Amino acid sequence: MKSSAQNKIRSISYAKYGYYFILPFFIVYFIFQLVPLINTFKLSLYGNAKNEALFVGLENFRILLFGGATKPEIAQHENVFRVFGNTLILWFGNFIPQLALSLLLAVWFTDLNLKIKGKTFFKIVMYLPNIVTAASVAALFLMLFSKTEYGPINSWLMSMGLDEPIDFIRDKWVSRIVIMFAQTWMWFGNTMIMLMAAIMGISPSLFEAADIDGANSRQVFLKITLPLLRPMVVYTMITSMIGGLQMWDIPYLYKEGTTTNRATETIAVYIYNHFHQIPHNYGFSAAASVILFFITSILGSICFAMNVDKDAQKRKKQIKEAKKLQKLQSKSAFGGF
Amino acid sequence: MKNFKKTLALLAALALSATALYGCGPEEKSSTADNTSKTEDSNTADNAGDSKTEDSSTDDEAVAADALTILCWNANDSQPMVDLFCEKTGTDPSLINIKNFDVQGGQAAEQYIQYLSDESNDADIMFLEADWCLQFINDDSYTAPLSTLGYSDGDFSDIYSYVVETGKSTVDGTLKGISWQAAAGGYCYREDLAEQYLGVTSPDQMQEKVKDWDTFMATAKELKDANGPAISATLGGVWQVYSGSRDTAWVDADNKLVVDDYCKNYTQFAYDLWNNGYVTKVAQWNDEWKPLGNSGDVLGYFVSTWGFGDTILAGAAGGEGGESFGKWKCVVGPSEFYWGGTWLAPATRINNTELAKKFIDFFTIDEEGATAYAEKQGEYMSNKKVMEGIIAKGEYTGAPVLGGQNHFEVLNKVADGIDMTGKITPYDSVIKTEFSNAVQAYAEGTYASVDEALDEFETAVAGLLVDLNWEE
Repeated sequence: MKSSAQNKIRSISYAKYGYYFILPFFIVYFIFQLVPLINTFKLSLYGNAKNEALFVGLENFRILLFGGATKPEIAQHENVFRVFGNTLILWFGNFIPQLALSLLLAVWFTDLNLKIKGKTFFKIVMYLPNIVTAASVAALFLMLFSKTEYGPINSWLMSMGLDEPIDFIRDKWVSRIVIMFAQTWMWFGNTMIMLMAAIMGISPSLFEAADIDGANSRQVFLKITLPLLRPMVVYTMITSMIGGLQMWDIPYLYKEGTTTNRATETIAVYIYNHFHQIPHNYGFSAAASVILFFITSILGSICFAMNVDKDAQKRKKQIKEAKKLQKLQSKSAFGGF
Repeated sequence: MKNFKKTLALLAALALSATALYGCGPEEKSSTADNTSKTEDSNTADNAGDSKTEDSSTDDEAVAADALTILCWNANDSQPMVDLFCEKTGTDPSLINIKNFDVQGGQAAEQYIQYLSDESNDADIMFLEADWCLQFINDDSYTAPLSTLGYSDGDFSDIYSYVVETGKSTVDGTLKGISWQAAAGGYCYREDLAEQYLGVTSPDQMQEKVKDWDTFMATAKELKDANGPAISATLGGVWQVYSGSRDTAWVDADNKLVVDDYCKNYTQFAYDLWNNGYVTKVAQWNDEWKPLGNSGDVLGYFVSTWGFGDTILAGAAGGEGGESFGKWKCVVGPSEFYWGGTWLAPATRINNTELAKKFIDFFTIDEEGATAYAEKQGEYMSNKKVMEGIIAKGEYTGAPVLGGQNHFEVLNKVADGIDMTGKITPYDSVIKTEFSNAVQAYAEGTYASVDEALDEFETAVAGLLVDLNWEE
């Protein structure tokens, strides 16, 4: 028999205080994220420029995704596919070298057999570009890679014997490569630190066992490090993909004056430009945002599904089946009774 | 005891949030009005960003309801204007309320729309930038015709015609905005280089060398043949001027984009300039742009009234004491042009027509006021009579970078010669940007032919302007 005091204590719930504490986040989230999000969905159903208050249903989506017969519709349709292409190119071009480089460095830095001096120093130096804001990085690259003979890189190249300055800013592929490089340079340190954390989480006994069994470093990497690193690699991939699809800052800022470079215009830059242009194309801008939202969600879910541990899934399935069997058996046992 | 604890906790929480939110509050800025605290509040710029806009608008209402509210995006012009206006007319500064959004000119349009969407926000006069002023001028829900203040078109006969023309609605032609400034520009060149390579010793001789686009090209060739400098710093500068010499509007009466011989000519012209080294490959406003002035690689810049200081020309000369400071001269150049400027337009919800008219009068048709402002700020006013008066007075000796030449005399000729009648459309800024992009790309060899470049230009515009008529 419990005392009345005990009963009273049991009835006090502290859970509500937890809600109070998370309330500020939800208020801010609601005002600054959810409302604009819903508003974007709404705007995507309205027209552009002088028709911006006109409800047009799914017209914007039709134009963006399937084009149409008139010149602006075709142009709009082509634009959207061009900027999506650009986005994917820029993302692949920075993600793959970035992952390769950070994986290599992470393995090197965590390898106990390699006695690298000044590890901490290198780690800090490699992480530093990530601290610099993207705007500054873009400004820095813009200055370094100035396309005229007065730019630092070009004047150096020309002193080495190049005849004509290279157009690093407007040339289709050269400008893309510079942006990919800037993105890689900015983010490989960050990815490296995360991968290193994951590698250090792997039990050292596995590495020792491999050592004793006489595995070479390639085998250790392929058979131990990489499989156990998979969740982290997938995590990096998801975050990088979401960030990459929304890549805006460097592609937007790495341009000449106010002239958008059509080869490096990403989907986010397209959205921004149409939103801020006068007259405003709110409809296209919002519709493209919604399309981007769905693409991101779909790709994110695919990555997430890939990450599900197959062994764990199998085990779960087995347990389920075993339970079923048991139930069946007990039923039949009852029946036999 | 329990209540005490609760109160204490509440107080602590309040104190915490108060300190946390304090940073969001308005930052006090020095303001002109020193007598009333109310004006101070409203004059405070919205440095804290958007969220503050609402805060200060509530302050605005606290100001006498009949105050003259001026919408602007920075106080560079509005503040000296209000100061001088109050000083000369004896107006109580508390009657004028500057609503400063403190953003870049290009972002002001969005801020205005947001501000005006709240019916209770007061607005009397709006500052509108040349690039986007038509968005407001063409919309009767934002701006009212100047005739509501009691103006007739004849009142502005002393104002340069292009200034009046730009302030007209392109929908029905009513005059809705007027500027106090005229941003006419000319071709500024280095005297020493001109003498060395062209044997030119006076601005008049130089004008002969650049009097139209053909001679401009010939002179550019002459310079290059003598291993001399590029005639203009940037292709963008040339375009700024060339775009002023278009005879027709970019969009015709059927709301169709006009791509004509003018476009073809310029595309080829730009290609020749670019590929023969008659312009440098630097872009306007790039970090390398101004240093070109002293490099000896460039003969001249196209400069507008506001560009004779550090913004362009004095900066290019290396500032006072710079290598070429004082060696620059200004001529009309191949074509008259203007570059930017700010227009004043009465808001539809204006409730203080008397003071608004007084204010606009003071800076435009009131010769005394305009002269005072020109002399105080060194600004080139839109009132032709005022400028001619200043030139005749002879006290003003021109921008120091020109070493004694009074550029007002040149600019007066330019401003007089600008004809914008029927050439302005609300789409100009988008169309011009896309056109110069396409031309630049053609010059760089992206497209095989002029026609291909112009096709690309049309497609790009089609992707941006859905309002135009695109039927074949």
